[in-house]
Amino acid sequence: MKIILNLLIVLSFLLVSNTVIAGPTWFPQPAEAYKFGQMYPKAQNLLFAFDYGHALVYERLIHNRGQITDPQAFEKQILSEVMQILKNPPTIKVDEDEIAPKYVFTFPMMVDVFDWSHLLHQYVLDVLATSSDRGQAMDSRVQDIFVQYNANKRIAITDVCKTMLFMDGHYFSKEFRRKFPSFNLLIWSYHWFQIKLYEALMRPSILERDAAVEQVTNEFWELISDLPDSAYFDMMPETKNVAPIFYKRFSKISASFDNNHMLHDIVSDIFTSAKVTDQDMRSVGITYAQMALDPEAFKSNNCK
Amino acid sequence: MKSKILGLVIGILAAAQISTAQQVATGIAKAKAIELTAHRIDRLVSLNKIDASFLSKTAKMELSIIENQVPAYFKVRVSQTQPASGEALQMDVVYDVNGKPLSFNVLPGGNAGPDDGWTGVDAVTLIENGLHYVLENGETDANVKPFYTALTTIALTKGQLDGKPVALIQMKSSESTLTLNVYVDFDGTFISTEFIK
Repeated sequence: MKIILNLLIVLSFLLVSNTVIAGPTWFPQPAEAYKFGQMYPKAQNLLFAFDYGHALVYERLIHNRGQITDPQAFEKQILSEVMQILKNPPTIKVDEDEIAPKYVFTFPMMVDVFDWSHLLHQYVLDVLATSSDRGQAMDSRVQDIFVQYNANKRIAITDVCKTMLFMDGHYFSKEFRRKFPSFNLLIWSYHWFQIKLYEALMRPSILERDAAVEQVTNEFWELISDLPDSAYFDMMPETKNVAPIFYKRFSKISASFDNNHMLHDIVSDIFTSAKVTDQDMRSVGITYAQMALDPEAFKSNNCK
Repeated sequence: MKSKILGLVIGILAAAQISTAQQVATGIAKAKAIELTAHRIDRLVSLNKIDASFLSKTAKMELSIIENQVPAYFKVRVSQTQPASGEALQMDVVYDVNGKPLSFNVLPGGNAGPDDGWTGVDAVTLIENGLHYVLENGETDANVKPFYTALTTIALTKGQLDGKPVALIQMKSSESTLTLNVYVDFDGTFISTEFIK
Protein backbone atom coordinates (compact mmCIF):
# COMPACT_ATOMS: atom_id res chain seq x y z
CA MET A 1 0.00 0.00 0.00
CA LYS A 2 2.82 2.34 0.95
CA ILE A 3 4.54 1.56 -2.34
CA ILE A 4 1.41 2.45 -4.30
CA LEU A 5 1.08 5.67 -2.34
CA ASN A 6 4.69 6.59 -3.05
CA LEU A 7 4.17 5.78 -6.69
CA LEU A 8 1.13 8.04 -6.83
CA ILE A 9 3.08 10.86 -5.19
CA VAL A 10 5.89 10.50 -7.73
CA LEU A 11 3.41 10.41 -10.60
CA SER A 12 1.62 13.49 -9.27
CA PHE A 13 4.94 15.28 -9.04
CA LEU A 14 5.82 14.34 -12.59
CA LEU A 15 2.49 15.54 -13.88
CA VAL A 16 2.85 19.01 -12.40
CA SER A 17 6.55 19.46 -12.95
CA ASN A 18 8.54 20.19 -16.09
CA THR A 19 10.05 16.75 -16.04
CA VAL A 20 7.05 15.41 -17.94
CA ILE A 21 8.30 17.30 -20.98
CA ALA A 22 11.59 15.43 -21.02
CA GLY A 23 12.79 14.85 -24.54
CA PRO A 24 11.96 11.84 -26.65
CA THR A 25 13.80 8.64 -25.89
CA TRP A 26 14.89 6.18 -28.52
CA PHE A 27 14.72 2.82 -26.84
CA PRO A 28 16.52 0.59 -27.24
CA GLN A 29 19.34 2.52 -28.83
CA PRO A 30 20.66 1.00 -32.04
CA ALA A 31 23.75 -1.13 -31.60
CA GLU A 32 25.63 1.31 -33.82
CA ALA A 33 24.70 4.37 -31.75
CA TYR A 34 27.46 7.02 -31.72
CA LYS A 35 29.96 4.72 -33.45
CA PHE A 36 30.38 7.39 -36.11
CA GLY A 37 31.97 9.56 -33.44
CA GLN A 38 34.44 6.86 -32.51
CA MET A 39 35.57 6.67 -36.13
CA TYR A 40 35.37 10.35 -36.97
CA PRO A 41 35.66 12.34 -33.73
CA LYS A 42 36.43 15.68 -35.41
CA ALA A 43 33.29 15.52 -37.54
CA GLN A 44 31.17 14.20 -34.66
CA ASN A 45 32.29 16.95 -32.31
CA LEU A 46 31.39 19.52 -34.93
CA LEU A 47 27.89 18.06 -35.04
CA PHE A 48 27.68 18.40 -31.25
CA ALA A 49 28.90 21.97 -31.62
CA PHE A 50 26.17 22.70 -34.17
CA ASP A 51 23.52 21.65 -31.66
CA TYR A 52 25.13 23.94 -29.14
CA GLY A 53 25.37 26.78 -31.68
CA HIS A 54 21.77 26.44 -32.80
CA ALA A 55 20.49 26.45 -29.24
CA LEU A 56 22.67 29.41 -28.33
CA VAL A 57 21.50 31.58 -31.21
CA TYR A 58 17.85 30.72 -30.59
CA GLU A 59 18.22 31.65 -26.94
CA ARG A 60 19.93 34.94 -27.79
CA LEU A 61 17.31 35.80 -30.39
CA ILE A 62 14.44 35.10 -28.06
CA HIS A 63 16.05 36.96 -25.14
CA ASN A 64 16.79 40.01 -27.25
CA ARG A 65 13.59 40.18 -29.27
CA GLY A 66 12.65 43.75 -30.07
CA GLN A 67 15.79 45.14 -28.46
CA ILE A 68 18.39 44.57 -31.16
CA THR A 69 19.25 48.07 -32.32
CA ASP A 70 22.43 47.11 -34.14
CA PRO A 71 21.92 43.75 -35.89
CA GLN A 72 25.44 43.76 -37.33
CA ALA A 73 27.06 44.13 -33.93
CA PHE A 74 24.71 41.53 -32.46
CA GLU A 75 25.56 39.11 -35.24
CA LYS A 76 29.28 39.74 -34.91
CA GLN A 77 29.16 39.06 -31.18
CA ILE A 78 27.27 35.76 -31.48
CA LEU A 79 29.38 34.69 -34.43
CA SER A 80 32.55 35.13 -32.43
CA GLU A 81 31.06 33.08 -29.58
CA VAL A 82 29.92 30.33 -31.90
CA MET A 83 33.29 30.24 -33.68
CA GLN A 84 34.90 29.60 -30.33
CA ILE A 85 32.50 26.71 -29.75
CA LEU A 86 33.24 25.29 -33.20
CA LYS A 87 36.97 25.52 -32.59
CA ASN A 88 36.62 23.97 -29.13
CA PRO A 89 33.65 21.69 -29.62
CA PRO A 90 31.96 19.61 -26.95
CA THR A 91 32.76 15.92 -27.04
CA ILE A 92 29.29 14.85 -25.97
CA LYS A 93 25.78 15.84 -26.95
CA VAL A 94 24.83 18.96 -25.05
CA ASP A 95 21.59 19.40 -23.19
CA GLU A 96 19.56 22.21 -24.77
CA ASP A 97 17.66 22.80 -21.53
CA GLU A 98 20.83 24.13 -19.99
CA ILE A 99 21.96 26.30 -22.89
CA ALA A 100 18.60 27.57 -24.04
CA PRO A 101 15.98 27.29 -21.28
CA LYS A 102 13.72 30.00 -22.67
CA TYR A 103 13.75 28.48 -26.14
CA VAL A 104 12.97 25.04 -24.71
CA PHE A 105 10.17 26.49 -22.58
CA THR A 106 8.68 28.50 -25.46
CA PHE A 107 8.92 25.83 -28.15
CA PRO A 108 8.57 22.48 -26.36
CA MET A 109 7.08 20.65 -29.32
CA MET A 110 9.64 22.07 -31.73
CA VAL A 111 12.45 20.99 -29.42
CA ASP A 112 11.10 17.44 -29.30
CA VAL A 113 10.70 17.39 -33.08
CA PHE A 114 14.29 18.49 -33.57
CA ASP A 115 15.66 16.14 -30.91
CA TRP A 116 13.92 13.19 -32.48
CA SER A 117 15.11 14.12 -35.96
CA HIS A 118 18.67 14.68 -34.73
CA LEU A 119 18.67 11.14 -33.34
CA LEU A 120 17.69 9.89 -36.78
CA HIS A 121 20.52 11.95 -38.32
CA GLN A 122 22.98 10.52 -35.82
CA TYR A 123 21.96 6.89 -36.15
CA VAL A 124 21.95 6.99 -39.94
CA LEU A 125 25.50 8.35 -39.82
CA ASP A 126 26.39 5.60 -37.35
CA VAL A 127 25.09 2.86 -39.63
CA LEU A 128 26.68 4.29 -42.77
CA ALA A 129 30.01 4.65 -40.99
CA THR A 130 30.11 1.17 -39.51
CA SER A 131 28.26 -1.21 -41.77
CA SER A 132 30.61 -3.82 -43.19
CA ASP A 133 28.01 -4.70 -45.80
CA ARG A 134 27.66 -1.77 -48.18
CA GLY A 135 24.66 -3.11 -50.02
CA GLN A 136 21.26 -4.49 -49.09
CA ALA A 137 22.10 -5.19 -45.44
CA MET A 138 23.15 -1.59 -44.87
CA ASP A 139 20.06 -0.27 -46.61
CA SER A 140 17.85 -2.52 -44.50
CA ARG A 141 19.52 -1.38 -41.31
CA VAL A 142 18.99 2.27 -42.24
CA GLN A 143 15.37 1.50 -43.07
CA ASP A 144 14.90 -0.25 -39.69
CA ILE A 145 16.01 2.92 -37.98
CA PHE A 146 13.80 5.02 -40.20
CA VAL A 147 10.79 2.84 -39.39
CA GLN A 148 11.44 3.33 -35.67
CA TYR A 149 11.77 7.07 -36.23
CA ASN A 150 8.48 7.30 -38.12
CA ALA A 151 6.69 5.20 -35.52
CA ASN A 152 6.74 8.21 -33.19
CA LYS A 153 4.10 10.00 -35.23
CA ARG A 154 3.62 12.76 -32.68
CA ILE A 155 7.05 14.23 -33.47
CA ALA A 156 8.35 12.55 -36.64
CA ILE A 157 8.95 15.03 -39.47
CA THR A 158 7.26 13.83 -42.63
CA ASP A 159 9.29 12.10 -45.32
CA VAL A 160 7.19 13.67 -48.05
CA CYS A 161 9.24 16.42 -49.63
CA LYS A 162 8.04 19.99 -49.36
CA THR A 163 8.43 23.00 -51.63
CA MET A 164 10.72 25.85 -50.63
CA LEU A 165 7.58 27.82 -49.89
CA PHE A 166 7.34 25.83 -46.67
CA MET A 167 10.41 27.75 -45.60
CA ASP A 168 9.99 31.02 -47.44
CA GLY A 169 6.29 31.52 -48.06
CA HIS A 170 5.06 33.02 -44.78
CA TYR A 171 4.43 36.50 -43.46
CA PHE A 172 7.57 36.31 -41.32
CA SER A 173 9.83 34.55 -43.83
CA LYS A 174 13.38 35.60 -44.76
CA GLU A 175 13.71 37.97 -41.79
CA PHE A 176 16.60 36.07 -40.22
CA ARG A 177 18.74 35.86 -43.35
CA ARG A 178 18.10 39.51 -44.13
CA LYS A 179 19.00 40.74 -40.68
CA PHE A 180 21.77 38.28 -39.91
CA PRO A 181 23.17 37.15 -43.28
CA SER A 182 26.45 35.80 -41.95
CA PHE A 183 24.80 33.81 -39.24
CA ASN A 184 22.31 32.44 -41.71
CA LEU A 185 25.14 31.31 -43.96
CA LEU A 186 26.83 29.66 -41.01
CA ILE A 187 23.66 27.68 -40.34
CA TRP A 188 23.35 26.75 -44.00
CA SER A 189 26.99 25.62 -43.82
CA TYR A 190 26.01 23.36 -40.90
CA HIS A 191 23.28 21.90 -43.06
CA TRP A 192 25.68 21.47 -45.95
CA PHE A 193 28.14 19.65 -43.70
CA GLN A 194 25.50 17.30 -42.29
CA ILE A 195 24.23 16.17 -45.67
CA LYS A 196 27.64 16.13 -47.31
CA LEU A 197 28.76 13.68 -44.62
CA TYR A 198 26.11 11.23 -45.83
CA GLU A 199 27.52 11.49 -49.31
CA ALA A 200 31.04 10.92 -47.99
CA LEU A 201 29.86 7.78 -46.21
CA MET A 202 28.39 6.35 -49.40
CA ARG A 203 31.90 5.67 -50.67
CA PRO A 204 32.52 1.94 -51.07
CA SER A 205 35.80 1.47 -49.18
CA ILE A 206 36.71 2.56 -45.70
CA LEU A 207 39.82 4.30 -46.95
CA GLU A 208 37.73 6.38 -49.34
CA ARG A 209 35.19 7.12 -46.62
CA ASP A 210 37.91 8.25 -44.22
CA ALA A 211 39.36 10.54 -46.86
CA ALA A 212 35.96 11.86 -47.91
CA VAL A 213 34.94 12.70 -44.32
CA GLU A 214 38.27 14.48 -43.86
CA GLN A 215 37.74 16.38 -47.09
CA VAL A 216 34.19 17.40 -46.18
CA THR A 217 35.39 18.61 -42.78
CA ASN A 218 38.11 20.69 -44.42
CA GLU A 219 35.63 22.12 -46.93
CA PHE A 220 33.32 23.08 -44.08
CA TRP A 221 36.08 25.12 -42.47
CA GLU A 222 36.73 26.81 -45.80
CA LEU A 223 33.04 27.62 -46.16
CA ILE A 224 32.98 29.46 -42.85
CA SER A 225 36.49 30.90 -43.06
CA ASP A 226 35.40 34.37 -44.13
CA LEU A 227 31.66 34.75 -43.71
CA PRO A 228 29.56 35.90 -45.42
CA ASP A 229 31.59 35.77 -48.65
CA SER A 230 33.20 32.36 -48.09
CA ALA A 231 29.84 30.55 -48.14
CA TYR A 232 28.69 30.82 -51.73
CA PHE A 233 25.17 29.41 -51.45
CA ASP A 234 22.24 31.75 -51.95
CA MET A 235 19.70 29.06 -51.13
CA MET A 236 19.50 26.47 -48.39
CA PRO A 237 21.59 23.44 -49.41
CA GLU A 238 19.33 20.53 -50.36
CA THR A 239 20.17 16.85 -50.17
CA LYS A 240 19.42 16.11 -53.82
CA ASN A 241 22.07 18.62 -54.89
CA VAL A 242 24.68 18.20 -52.17
CA ALA A 243 24.38 14.44 -51.67
CA PRO A 244 22.93 13.01 -54.91
CA ILE A 245 24.05 9.43 -54.29
CA PHE A 246 22.57 9.36 -50.80
CA TYR A 247 19.42 11.07 -52.11
CA LYS A 248 18.96 8.46 -54.81
CA ARG A 249 19.33 5.60 -52.35
CA PHE A 250 17.44 7.11 -49.41
CA SER A 251 15.10 9.67 -50.94
CA LYS A 252 12.53 9.59 -48.14
CA ILE A 253 15.11 10.09 -45.42
CA SER A 254 16.57 12.90 -47.54
CA ALA A 255 13.19 14.59 -47.66
CA SER A 256 12.85 14.25 -43.91
CA PHE A 257 16.26 15.87 -43.38
CA ASP A 258 15.53 18.72 -45.79
CA ASN A 259 12.24 19.36 -44.01
CA ASN A 260 14.12 19.47 -40.72
CA HIS A 261 16.55 22.03 -42.12
CA MET A 262 13.72 24.17 -43.46
CA LEU A 263 12.07 24.04 -40.05
CA HIS A 264 15.27 25.34 -38.47
CA ASP A 265 15.12 28.36 -40.77
CA ILE A 266 11.45 28.87 -39.93
CA VAL A 267 12.29 28.98 -36.21
CA SER A 268 15.03 31.54 -36.87
CA ASP A 269 12.54 33.69 -38.79
CA ILE A 270 9.88 33.42 -36.10
CA PHE A 271 12.34 34.57 -33.45
CA THR A 272 13.62 37.41 -35.63
CA SER A 273 10.42 38.77 -37.13
CA ALA A 274 8.57 41.59 -35.44
CA LYS A 275 5.49 40.39 -37.33
CA VAL A 276 5.20 37.52 -34.86
CA THR A 277 4.13 38.90 -31.51
CA ASP A 278 5.49 37.58 -28.23
CA GLN A 279 2.01 36.41 -27.29
CA ASP A 280 1.63 34.43 -30.51
CA MET A 281 5.07 32.93 -30.65
CA ARG A 282 4.29 29.72 -28.81
CA SER A 283 1.23 28.92 -30.89
CA VAL A 284 3.02 29.87 -34.11
CA GLY A 285 5.79 27.48 -33.10
CA ILE A 286 3.31 24.65 -32.63
CA THR A 287 1.56 25.44 -35.92
CA TYR A 288 4.76 25.27 -37.95
CA ALA A 289 6.09 22.22 -36.14
CA GLN A 290 2.82 20.50 -37.03
CA MET A 291 3.24 21.57 -40.65
CA ALA A 292 6.63 19.88 -40.67
CA LEU A 293 4.93 16.62 -39.63
CA ASP A 294 2.05 16.99 -42.07
CA PRO A 295 2.72 15.19 -45.38
CA GLU A 296 0.17 17.34 -47.19
CA ALA A 297 1.41 20.75 -46.06
CA PHE A 298 3.45 22.38 -48.86
CA LYS A 299 3.79 19.01 -50.56
CA SER A 300 6.04 19.22 -53.59
CA ASN A 301 5.20 17.70 -56.95
CA ASN A 302 8.83 16.80 -57.38
CA CYS A 303 8.99 14.11 -54.69
CA LYS A 304 10.75 10.95 -55.72
CA MET B 1 52.56 7.31 -43.15
CA LYS B 2 48.83 7.01 -42.52
CA SER B 3 48.36 10.75 -42.99
CA LYS B 4 50.30 10.63 -46.26
CA ILE B 5 48.06 7.87 -47.59
CA LEU B 6 44.99 9.81 -46.43
CA GLY B 7 46.31 12.93 -48.16
CA LEU B 8 46.89 10.98 -51.35
CA VAL B 9 43.38 9.53 -51.28
CA ILE B 10 41.90 12.99 -50.63
CA GLY B 11 43.82 14.28 -53.65
CA ILE B 12 42.58 11.43 -55.83
CA LEU B 13 39.01 11.94 -54.60
CA ALA B 14 39.17 15.68 -55.28
CA ALA B 15 40.49 15.07 -58.80
CA ALA B 16 37.86 12.41 -59.41
CA GLN B 17 35.17 14.77 -58.16
CA ILE B 18 36.28 17.54 -60.55
CA SER B 19 36.40 15.08 -63.42
CA THR B 20 32.96 13.66 -62.56
CA ALA B 21 31.53 17.14 -62.18
CA GLN B 22 32.77 18.01 -65.66
CA GLN B 23 31.37 14.83 -67.13
CA VAL B 24 27.92 15.23 -65.58
CA ALA B 25 27.72 19.00 -65.88
CA THR B 26 24.31 18.90 -67.46
CA GLY B 27 23.57 22.06 -65.57
CA ILE B 28 20.53 23.56 -63.96
CA ALA B 29 17.29 24.49 -65.68
CA LYS B 30 16.90 28.08 -66.79
CA ALA B 31 14.00 28.59 -64.39
CA LYS B 32 16.32 27.52 -61.59
CA ALA B 33 18.85 30.17 -62.64
CA ILE B 34 16.12 32.79 -62.27
CA GLU B 35 15.22 31.45 -58.84
CA LEU B 36 18.86 31.67 -57.82
CA THR B 37 18.89 35.26 -59.02
CA ALA B 38 15.96 36.12 -56.78
CA HIS B 39 17.94 34.75 -53.84
CA ARG B 40 21.13 36.45 -55.04
CA ILE B 41 19.39 39.83 -55.02
CA ASP B 42 18.18 39.15 -51.48
CA ARG B 43 21.69 38.30 -50.32
CA LEU B 44 23.37 41.23 -52.06
CA VAL B 45 20.87 43.65 -50.56
CA SER B 46 21.28 42.12 -47.08
CA LEU B 47 25.04 42.57 -47.37
CA ASN B 48 24.64 46.17 -48.60
CA LYS B 49 26.39 45.30 -51.85
CA ILE B 50 23.57 46.62 -54.03
CA ASP B 51 20.81 49.11 -53.38
CA ALA B 52 17.71 47.86 -51.57
CA SER B 53 15.60 49.15 -54.46
CA PHE B 54 16.55 45.95 -56.29
CA LEU B 55 14.30 44.12 -53.83
CA SER B 56 11.39 46.51 -53.93
CA LYS B 57 11.45 47.69 -57.54
CA THR B 58 12.64 44.78 -59.66
CA ALA B 59 10.26 44.45 -62.59
CA LYS B 60 11.95 42.04 -64.98
CA MET B 61 14.62 39.37 -65.29
CA GLU B 62 15.96 38.21 -68.65
CA LEU B 63 18.13 35.17 -69.08
CA SER B 64 20.68 34.58 -71.80
CA ILE B 65 23.40 32.01 -72.43
CA ILE B 66 26.99 33.15 -72.58
CA GLU B 67 28.87 31.42 -75.37
CA ASN B 68 32.48 30.33 -75.15
CA GLN B 69 33.39 31.99 -71.86
CA VAL B 70 33.69 28.98 -69.56
CA PRO B 71 33.01 28.86 -66.64
CA ALA B 72 30.47 31.67 -67.27
CA TYR B 73 27.26 30.20 -68.68
CA PHE B 74 24.05 31.96 -67.56
CA LYS B 75 23.62 35.71 -67.55
CA VAL B 76 20.54 37.13 -65.88
CA ARG B 77 19.82 40.81 -66.43
CA VAL B 78 17.72 42.26 -63.65
CA SER B 79 15.82 45.45 -64.47
CA GLN B 80 14.01 47.74 -62.10
CA THR B 81 10.83 49.63 -63.05
CA GLN B 82 11.09 51.84 -66.12
CA PRO B 83 11.75 55.51 -65.30
CA ALA B 84 10.02 58.36 -67.13
CA SER B 85 13.14 58.86 -69.21
CA GLY B 86 16.35 56.97 -69.85
CA GLU B 87 17.30 53.42 -68.94
CA ALA B 88 16.08 51.56 -65.89
CA LEU B 89 18.51 50.58 -63.16
CA GLN B 90 19.92 47.21 -64.15
CA MET B 91 22.25 44.54 -62.86
CA ASP B 92 23.81 41.50 -64.51
CA VAL B 93 24.41 38.32 -62.55
CA VAL B 94 26.55 35.56 -64.05
CA TYR B 95 26.54 31.88 -63.10
CA ASP B 96 28.32 28.76 -64.19
CA VAL B 97 26.37 25.90 -65.75
CA ASN B 98 25.57 24.46 -62.32
CA GLY B 99 24.27 27.74 -60.94
CA LYS B 100 27.30 28.76 -58.94
CA PRO B 101 27.37 32.56 -58.88
CA LEU B 102 30.46 34.02 -60.52
CA SER B 103 29.89 37.77 -60.59
CA PHE B 104 27.42 40.61 -60.39
CA ASN B 105 27.60 44.02 -61.96
CA VAL B 106 25.27 46.98 -61.57
CA LEU B 107 25.19 48.66 -64.96
CA PRO B 108 26.13 52.33 -65.09
CA GLY B 109 23.78 55.07 -66.26
CA GLY B 110 20.48 53.70 -65.00
CA ASN B 111 17.81 55.92 -63.52
CA ALA B 112 15.48 55.18 -60.62
CA GLY B 113 11.99 54.23 -61.72
CA PRO B 114 8.69 54.49 -59.86
CA ASP B 115 7.95 52.35 -56.84
CA ASP B 116 4.98 50.12 -57.56
CA GLY B 117 4.26 50.07 -53.84
CA TRP B 118 3.91 46.36 -53.27
CA THR B 119 2.23 46.20 -49.91
CA GLY B 120 2.54 42.60 -48.74
CA VAL B 121 5.92 41.24 -49.77
CA ASP B 122 8.65 42.72 -51.96
CA ALA B 123 8.79 42.56 -55.76
CA VAL B 124 11.48 39.88 -55.86
CA THR B 125 9.49 37.61 -53.56
CA LEU B 126 6.40 38.06 -55.76
CA ILE B 127 8.43 37.13 -58.84
CA GLU B 128 9.88 34.10 -57.10
CA ASN B 129 6.53 32.93 -55.80
CA GLY B 130 5.11 33.13 -59.32
CA LEU B 131 8.12 31.23 -60.60
CA HIS B 132 7.49 28.47 -58.06
CA TYR B 133 4.57 27.31 -60.19
CA VAL B 134 7.06 26.54 -62.95
CA LEU B 135 9.66 25.05 -60.61
CA GLU B 136 7.04 22.75 -59.12
CA ASN B 137 5.39 21.64 -62.35
CA GLY B 138 8.08 22.05 -64.98
CA GLU B 139 9.35 18.51 -64.80
CA THR B 140 5.96 16.85 -64.90
CA ASP B 141 3.58 19.05 -66.89
CA ALA B 142 4.24 19.19 -70.64
CA ASN B 143 2.62 22.62 -70.92
CA VAL B 144 4.83 24.10 -68.23
CA LYS B 145 8.04 22.36 -69.24
CA PRO B 146 9.11 24.95 -71.89
CA PHE B 147 9.04 27.61 -69.19
CA TYR B 148 11.18 25.43 -66.93
CA THR B 149 13.85 24.46 -69.42
CA ALA B 150 13.82 27.47 -71.74
CA LEU B 151 12.63 30.45 -69.73
CA THR B 152 13.86 33.70 -71.22
CA THR B 153 11.95 36.45 -69.43
CA ILE B 154 9.95 36.90 -66.26
CA ALA B 155 8.20 40.20 -65.60
CA LEU B 156 6.14 41.59 -62.74
CA THR B 157 3.31 44.07 -63.09
CA LYS B 158 0.10 44.93 -61.30
CA GLY B 159 -2.90 43.17 -62.74
CA GLN B 160 -6.58 42.56 -62.13
CA LEU B 161 -8.24 39.24 -61.53
CA ASP B 162 -12.00 39.09 -61.02
CA GLY B 163 -11.96 42.80 -60.26
CA LYS B 164 -9.33 42.43 -57.58
CA PRO B 165 -5.84 43.95 -57.82
CA VAL B 166 -3.16 41.24 -57.92
CA ALA B 167 0.46 40.71 -58.88
CA LEU B 168 0.82 39.39 -62.42
CA ILE B 169 3.97 37.44 -63.23
CA GLN B 170 4.41 36.87 -66.96
CA MET B 171 6.88 34.37 -68.35
CA LYS B 172 8.16 33.77 -71.86
CA SER B 173 10.06 30.81 -73.23
CA SER B 174 12.24 30.30 -76.29
CA GLU B 175 10.45 26.97 -76.80
CA SER B 176 6.88 28.26 -76.74
CA THR B 177 4.87 30.91 -78.51
CA LEU B 178 2.62 31.20 -75.48
CA THR B 179 2.99 33.47 -72.49
CA LEU B 180 2.47 31.97 -69.05
CA ASN B 181 0.63 34.26 -66.64
CA VAL B 182 0.76 33.49 -62.95
CA TYR B 183 -1.48 35.47 -60.62
CA VAL B 184 -0.27 35.96 -57.07
CA ASP B 185 -1.85 37.82 -54.18
CA PHE B 186 0.02 40.81 -52.78
CA ASP B 187 1.08 38.68 -49.82
CA GLY B 188 2.72 36.24 -52.20
CA THR B 189 0.00 33.59 -52.15
CA PHE B 190 -0.50 31.76 -55.42
CA ILE B 191 -3.91 32.32 -57.05
CA SER B 192 -4.04 30.88 -60.58
CA THR B 193 -2.37 30.57 -63.96
CA GLU B 194 -3.24 30.87 -67.63
CA PHE B 195 -1.49 30.43 -70.96
CA ILE B 196 -2.15 33.18 -73.50
CA LYS B 197 -1.21 33.63 -77.16
